[in-house]
Amino acid sequence: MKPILSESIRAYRANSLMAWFSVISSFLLLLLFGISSVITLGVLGLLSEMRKDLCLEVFMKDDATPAQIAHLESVVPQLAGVQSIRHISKENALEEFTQEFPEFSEIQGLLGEIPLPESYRITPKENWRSAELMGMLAKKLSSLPGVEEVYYGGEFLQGAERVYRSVLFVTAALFIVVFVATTFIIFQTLRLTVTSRKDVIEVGLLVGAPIWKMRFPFMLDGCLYGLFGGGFAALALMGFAWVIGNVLGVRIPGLEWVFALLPLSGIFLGFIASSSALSEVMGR
Amino acid sequence: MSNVLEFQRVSKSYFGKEVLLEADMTVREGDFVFLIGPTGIGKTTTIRLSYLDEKPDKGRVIVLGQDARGLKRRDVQVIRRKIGVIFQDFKLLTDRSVLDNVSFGLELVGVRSQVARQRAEEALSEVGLADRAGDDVQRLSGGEKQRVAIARALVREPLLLLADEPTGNLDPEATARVVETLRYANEVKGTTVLFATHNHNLLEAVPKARVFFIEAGKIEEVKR
Repeated sequence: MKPILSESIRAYRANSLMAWFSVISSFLLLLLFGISSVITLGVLGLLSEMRKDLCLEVFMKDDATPAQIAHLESVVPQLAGVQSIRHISKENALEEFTQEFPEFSEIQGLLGEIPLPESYRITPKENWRSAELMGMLAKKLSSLPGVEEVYYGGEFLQGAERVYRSVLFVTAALFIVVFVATTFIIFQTLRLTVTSRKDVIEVGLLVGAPIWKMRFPFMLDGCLYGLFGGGFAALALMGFAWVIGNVLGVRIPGLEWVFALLPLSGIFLGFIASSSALSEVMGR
Repeated sequence: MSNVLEFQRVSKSYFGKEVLLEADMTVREGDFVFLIGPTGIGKTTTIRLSYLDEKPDKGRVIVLGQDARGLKRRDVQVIRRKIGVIFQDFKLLTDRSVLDNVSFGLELVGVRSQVARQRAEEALSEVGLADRAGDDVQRLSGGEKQRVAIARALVREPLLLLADEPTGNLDPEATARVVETLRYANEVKGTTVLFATHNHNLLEAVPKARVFFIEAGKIEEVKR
C-alpha cells in the first residue's frame, strides 16, 4: 500500500495547481447543484404541506332536494379517490366563517338568516392530491344533481405544481451540467497528471506490476478531488441550511440526504473521470 | 536446457513496412545472445516482441514457455515479472534516488519495503554503485545511470534480461563496464541475456556469446 499512497502523493504534487483547480471547480459546481437541490426540496416540502390539507368543497344549491342530497351522500363515498366525506351544515359553515373572520360575527343578526350554503367537504386519498386528479374528481362531483359549485383551489394547486416541476427540471438539468463539467475538469487534470507520470507507469508495467496497482494512485487522486469538492460543497450547504434554519426559521426536510449525496457524487464523478483519463493514456 | 525465448516464423510490419519477415530465433536458458544489426533494422521490434509489448502479425513468439498469442494483459504482467529490460535511454525515475529507483520495481510487485531496499542495496553493490545509493539519479553519469537500470532489472532475479542498445549513449569505458556487468550476471547468476546492439566491437567482450544478425527481416545465427 505504501508505494501506492506515495505515488498518489507524487501524482498530486506533479500537478497540484490543476488539482486544486479541480477541487475548487467541483466544489462550486456541486454547491450549485446542492443549492438547487435544497430549493427543490423546499418547494416539495411546501407542496407536501399544502397537499396535507387539500379537500374539495361541494356547495349545494339552495333548492337541492332531500333525494338529491341522499343520492350525493350515497354515491360520493363510492367514487374512486374519495377518502372521506363530511357534511357541513349552514350553522357549521357560519361557525367556521366567524372563527376565521371574527369581524363578521354579526352577519346572521344583520341579514336575519345564514347566507352560507350547505356543503360537503370531501377529502381525497393521498395519491389523488394533485391538480389533475382533483380536477377530475371535481368534474364528477359537479355533475351530480343538486350541486351548485365545487371548489378545490385548482388554479393555485396547478400553479404550485408547475413551480415544483420547473424547479425540478432546472435541478435535473443542472445535475447533467454539473456531472459533465465536473467529470470533464477532473478528467483533464488527471489526464495531465497521468501524462506527467507516464514514466512511472511505464516502469511499473515493465517490471510486471499488476495493472490495478498502476491505476490505483491516479484513481485515488481523482476520487479525492471529487470527495474534497463535494465535501466542501456539503459543508458550505450545511452553513447555508443553518442560516436559513436559525435566522429565517425555515426547516427543509431531507437536507441530510443532500449533505450525503454531494461528497458521494464527488467520489463517483472523480472515479469516472480518472478511469476515463487512465483508459485514454494507458489504454484499457 | 529449455528455451527461454522462441521466435517461430515471426512477421511484424509497421505502416506497411516489413520489419521482421518469418524470422526464427531461439534463446536457451543461460545463453548470452548478441543481436546485431544497424539502426532501424528491427532490433527494438525484436526486443519489444520479447517483452510482450507488441504482438506479432504472423508466427509465434514464445516467452518463458508462454505463447504471446491470446495472452491477457494481466498474464503479460505476470510474465514480465520474470523479465528484466534495459534501454538506451535508461528509463529511470528522475524524481527519485538511485536506491528508490531500484527498489521501486520490487515494491510494486509486492515485496515489503524494507526487504526491497535491502535487496536493492545488494543489487547496487553488484553493479558497483553501493556508494551512490542515496544520490539523485540526475547527478549520475550515463554509464552509472545504465548500471542503475541494470541493477533495477537484476534485483528481481529475472530469467531473461533484454537489453536494447544499452551502450548506445555511452563512452567506451562506460560501455565496457556495462557489458562486463551483464556478462557477470550471465556467468555468475545464470541470467539469460539478449543484448541488441549495432556495435560489433562488443562481441569480443563476451567470447562465449551466441550471435544473431538481423537483416532484411530475417534473424540468422552466426557461428563463431
